Amino acid sequence: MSWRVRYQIFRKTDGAPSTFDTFTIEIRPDETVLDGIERIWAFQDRTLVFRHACHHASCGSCGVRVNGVETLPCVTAIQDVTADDGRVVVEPMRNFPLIRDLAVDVSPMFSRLREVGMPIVRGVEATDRQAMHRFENCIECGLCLSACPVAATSSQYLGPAILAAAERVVQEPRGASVPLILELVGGEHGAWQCRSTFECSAVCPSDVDPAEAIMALRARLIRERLRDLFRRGPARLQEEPHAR
Amino acid sequence: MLDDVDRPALRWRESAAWFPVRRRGLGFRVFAFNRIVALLLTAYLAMHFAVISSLYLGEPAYDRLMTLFRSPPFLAFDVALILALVYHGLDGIRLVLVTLTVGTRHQEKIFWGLMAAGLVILLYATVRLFRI
Repeated sequence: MSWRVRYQIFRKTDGAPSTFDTFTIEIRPDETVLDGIERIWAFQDRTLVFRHACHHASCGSCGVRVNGVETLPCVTAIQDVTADDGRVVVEPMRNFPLIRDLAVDVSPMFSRLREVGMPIVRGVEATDRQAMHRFENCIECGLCLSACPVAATSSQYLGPAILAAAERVVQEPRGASVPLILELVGGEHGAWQCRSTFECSAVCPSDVDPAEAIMALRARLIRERLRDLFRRGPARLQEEPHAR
Repeated sequence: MLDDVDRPALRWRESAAWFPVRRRGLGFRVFAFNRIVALLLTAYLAMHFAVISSLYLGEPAYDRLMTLFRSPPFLAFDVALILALVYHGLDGIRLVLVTLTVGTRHQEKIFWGLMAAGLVILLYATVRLFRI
């Protein structure tokens, strides 16, 4: 059984105003939104630009907004976002520089992740093949940054993914400087900018729960400030064994 | 990279991104509503200063205004004001709690619990207002 679905896809090329192009396709309800986008690219418009790789929510590269909500189209079934003879609106993620159509430049996110020590991918100790292994749940998709209302209004805000990564470093430093990380996240563009909408955790496809991580960072920063009140000499952030 | 992504229209659309709440979670909706309520309360404060300034016009002018404010339509406005204050204040308590990592994972339940308490406060205040 196939459904007839209208895809309304955001289009933007250099120098031209943005538009929504409509494509009608036949698609099974249990197929994914990404299946439809690939079908449109293969049979209707080869100029459509979008990112994808793994097709199973592992690489985090295909993140877009489907009907206004950030999601990974590779694991979003058509039947979950529309009905037979319905429509699906696909837009690029917000709060990232747009490259073209559905593709955004996620490099600002990775630059900031490096500032907090890139804790998501860590080198494995005592290995002879020098491989990089993934230890955390975050797939660096950027959906949390797109959903965040603060990131939408402040380009310098570190954002949920980076703050969650920073919290991971604070939790398990492995040689990283916790005071430096706390100084960064306690600054003007850090954890205190968060408005506690919890939308980052709502859209996270990988159960990272960035909102809770931000709250944990705030609690740690409050503890540090309270210590500073009763400490002699200049205020400074301290190393503290983190226990959950 | 597209060179015209920083156009004012696009910047405005992005800046207003905190407002559209359709298909968003409770936290996002509460945040957006809280901002709107805060703007309304700020407007009320400005109006309050204007009313207090009527004292400069003399006691009779001020008394006339006070009589007007005690009429039922204005008391209804007072109820709306209390609703806004209670909502804004109680949601502030939720934010303090989650910031201190108290019930972060249950923040929606905390919100509804506080709103239930707010409803009781509002009902009590409404009864008191209309009995004056």
